[in-house]
Amino acid sequence: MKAVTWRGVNEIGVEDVPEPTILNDHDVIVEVGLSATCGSDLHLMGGYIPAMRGGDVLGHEFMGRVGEVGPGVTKHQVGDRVVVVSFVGCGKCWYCREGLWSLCDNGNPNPGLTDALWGQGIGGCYGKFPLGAVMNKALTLRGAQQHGHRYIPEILDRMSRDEVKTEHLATHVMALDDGPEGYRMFKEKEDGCVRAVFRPGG
Amino acid sequence: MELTATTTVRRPVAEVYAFWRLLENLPTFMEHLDEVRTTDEKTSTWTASAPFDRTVVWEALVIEDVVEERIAWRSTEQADVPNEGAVSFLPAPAGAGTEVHVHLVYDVEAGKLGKAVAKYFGEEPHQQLDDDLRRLKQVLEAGEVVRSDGAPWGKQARKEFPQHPAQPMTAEERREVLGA
Ligand SMILES: [Zn+2]
Ligand SMILES: [Zn+2]
Repeated sequence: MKAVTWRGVNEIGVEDVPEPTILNDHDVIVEVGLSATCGSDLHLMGGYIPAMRGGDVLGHEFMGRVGEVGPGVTKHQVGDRVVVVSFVGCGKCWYCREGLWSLCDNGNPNPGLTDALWGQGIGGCYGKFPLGAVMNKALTLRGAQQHGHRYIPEILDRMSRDEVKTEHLATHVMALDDGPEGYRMFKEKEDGCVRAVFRPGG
Repeated sequence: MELTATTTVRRPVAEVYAFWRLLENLPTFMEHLDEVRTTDEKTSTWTASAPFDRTVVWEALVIEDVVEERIAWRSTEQADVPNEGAVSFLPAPAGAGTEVHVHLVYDVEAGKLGKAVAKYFGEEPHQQLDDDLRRLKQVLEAGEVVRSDGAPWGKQARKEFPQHPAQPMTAEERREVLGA
């Protein structure tokens, strides 16, 4: 599949990467329809995250269509339209049940490092992007209690009634092939860019 | 070497106790265990990976079993690394599930292998047991040990340092990691 990738400090490219595969029984694979830039991408772009490696895929806030489901998935089926939050919660632990998704006890497949550093593994970080970013984000989100999952149904509902408009956020919608340009504009806030949004289909 | 660790699992005491009491379940979350086979109500055969690609097999005996409260076991006389363990299950406050308290003792002074095992556990022997309990919690709450492209090894947490960056695995990497 085609992806926007990090190639080096402030160097963004578009390249072919291996297709994702189902690893957990509860995984789904989402065919991305739209993907947004995020402020935390700037830490990655700027090379502040030592674990970054050339070829790492950027983009962790997106929406699309379910293309494949793992054998344990009951809530979604192929074809469902979904919005994906950067933090993945298990949906079963105490925090998730209370709607505190970013504090999920089980969503982090690699909690040992911060466990050793801080005495506690960080919550709700699925490790789809490098560890350093995960640490950054967890610090921010634990402080800010930003539990995106909680608000998405309401936001979608309001959007469908035209009560919430997003034009002022998605200021620059462009083809995925223009990813490097989009990230540059986002970084420089050029032309009033609040978020660049990429469409893989062009 | 004595290790203790605790976790809270958001499942009823009866369920957590029953899961642990079926000793065959232990390798699903305990990294060093490859297999536990029960031979009768009290006895079982444990297989573990030891340092230097060796496998260690020993017999264990359940020496205490208080239903929905506590299970204790110890290796029998012939074990290369004599060891014993106990787990207690307590109702967590405010109906939040079950507190799981684990206590393990390895006699690493006994013999060469014991010393190798001590070295394998390294300077942070508690980390492994902490990771084991985190996986116990994942299995009981979320239904599986979570993996990602960044950390696909599941049970073998130690391989997760440093984490692989955000790249989908190639077919070859996938074969290597998942053996499939
Ligand atoms: Zn983000
Ligand atoms: Zn959770």
